[in-house]
Amino acid sequence: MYISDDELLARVTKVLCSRRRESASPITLGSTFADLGLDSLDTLSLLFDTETEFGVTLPEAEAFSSRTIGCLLLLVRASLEAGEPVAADSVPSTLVVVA
Amino acid sequence: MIPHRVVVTGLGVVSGAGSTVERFWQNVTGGSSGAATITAVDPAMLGRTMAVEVPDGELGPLGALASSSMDRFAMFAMLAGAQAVTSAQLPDDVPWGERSAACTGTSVGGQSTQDRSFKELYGKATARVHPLTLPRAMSNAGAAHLSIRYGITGPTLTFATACAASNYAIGHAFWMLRMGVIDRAIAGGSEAPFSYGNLKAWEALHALDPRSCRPFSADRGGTILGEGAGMLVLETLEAAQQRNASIHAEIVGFGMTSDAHHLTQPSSDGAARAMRAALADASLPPSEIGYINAHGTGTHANDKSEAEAIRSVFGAASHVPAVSSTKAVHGHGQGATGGFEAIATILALRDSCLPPTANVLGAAADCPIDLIVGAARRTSAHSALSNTFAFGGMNAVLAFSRWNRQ
Repeated sequence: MYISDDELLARVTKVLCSRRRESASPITLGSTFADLGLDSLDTLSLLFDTETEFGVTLPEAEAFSSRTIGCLLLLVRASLEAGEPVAADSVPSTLVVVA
Repeated sequence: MIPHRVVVTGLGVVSGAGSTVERFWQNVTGGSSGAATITAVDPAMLGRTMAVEVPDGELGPLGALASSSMDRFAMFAMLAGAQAVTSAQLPDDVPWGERSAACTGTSVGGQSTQDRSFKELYGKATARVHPLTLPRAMSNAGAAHLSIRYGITGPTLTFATACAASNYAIGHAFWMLRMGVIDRAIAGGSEAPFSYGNLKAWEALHALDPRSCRPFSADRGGTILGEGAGMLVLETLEAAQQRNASIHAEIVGFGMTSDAHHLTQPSSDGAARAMRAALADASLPPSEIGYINAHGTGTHANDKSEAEAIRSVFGAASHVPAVSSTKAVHGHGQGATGGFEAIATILALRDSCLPPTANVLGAAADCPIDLIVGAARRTSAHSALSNTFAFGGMNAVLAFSRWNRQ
């Protein structure tokens, strides 16, 4: 299953907005996590929620060293291509851990 | 050191009997119970289905945020805390600083978060849990969020003393204020007990009534659980007067004892000693107490033991103060219940109106007390006690006095 860059960004944006208190500043590929007001705990949550959204497991070291949305999307893309891509709406509900 | 007098300047409540102080008080004085068939868990999976839930529609924007970033019990603490700060007419954008405290109580903290997360994990549907699982589940999350929100950089404490937790929190805040350690505090408790696992645990204790909560009644059969938060803003009298704050009541005493007896069976001796300790702390003789907001859970064991304790402290029937339990209205909020009941006690003194015990026609023979039933009762009571007793044999009693600007 191919997912376009625009869709990747849209789905990560949705993940981000679900946890933000106020309206998000514009989210672009170049946005850093710091630009978006994410602290370390927020970043952990973003990585977790992104994995859940796409049904992938991101490589830990690379994921933790990511600093921009663009970098995160590259990791998602690589994980999707390396494994079996799973659309969010096809993830069994039991796999979606809602904290 | 001359002890400071301590006054209540702010009230906040989120409950299934009202999520404003006005609505809550209207339902409490009207004896209008918020109990209904539970919605948080499929009632078909439960043996006891009645609960006093906070409708999601009353939670506002924080409710949506809470579903992702904080457990429901912490959200309740924040909502009631914000109400209390607004009620105290304090600015919400000025940090309170080191001369302030946040003291909260809870019985089971963020157990709903654990219940959901670990269900997936133990069911092997996933091998991981969300990174916010611990920060959401920790019992001090409510106090932590309040501290962060209001810039409270002095003591931030959480008491996990089960169904007496709120009174421990309020009592310790009171003592810190009286000793001059701080000038202002947010204190109370919150609870969100409605997860499948926790409800099953309550069912296993056979402590829940299938129909309603009927405290001190001959046909009582157990309690009904409630959720929410009750929070007070407490200040030294000097601090309150300096900013010309409105004062709801004075908090004058706090007593705490342990039964050292049994994990779940109450001891009338422990309860009586807690009431005596609160009276001694307040320098009040028993004859000055005109009202007791009882722990009154509606269980056979608690109500009989508490009635015995009241008679033990106050003596002959003619000296026993009027008693009511408001739990039939707001439910047994466990760690939050002392917060609910402190507010009911404060408003009873402020408005000269003692709330009735809902769902009850009269006191049982094994509970020989002056139980207020039917309609609210007018009062000239100057002082009152609010009792809370917890599993584990922990007893905490607060004493309040009417504020007369004396």
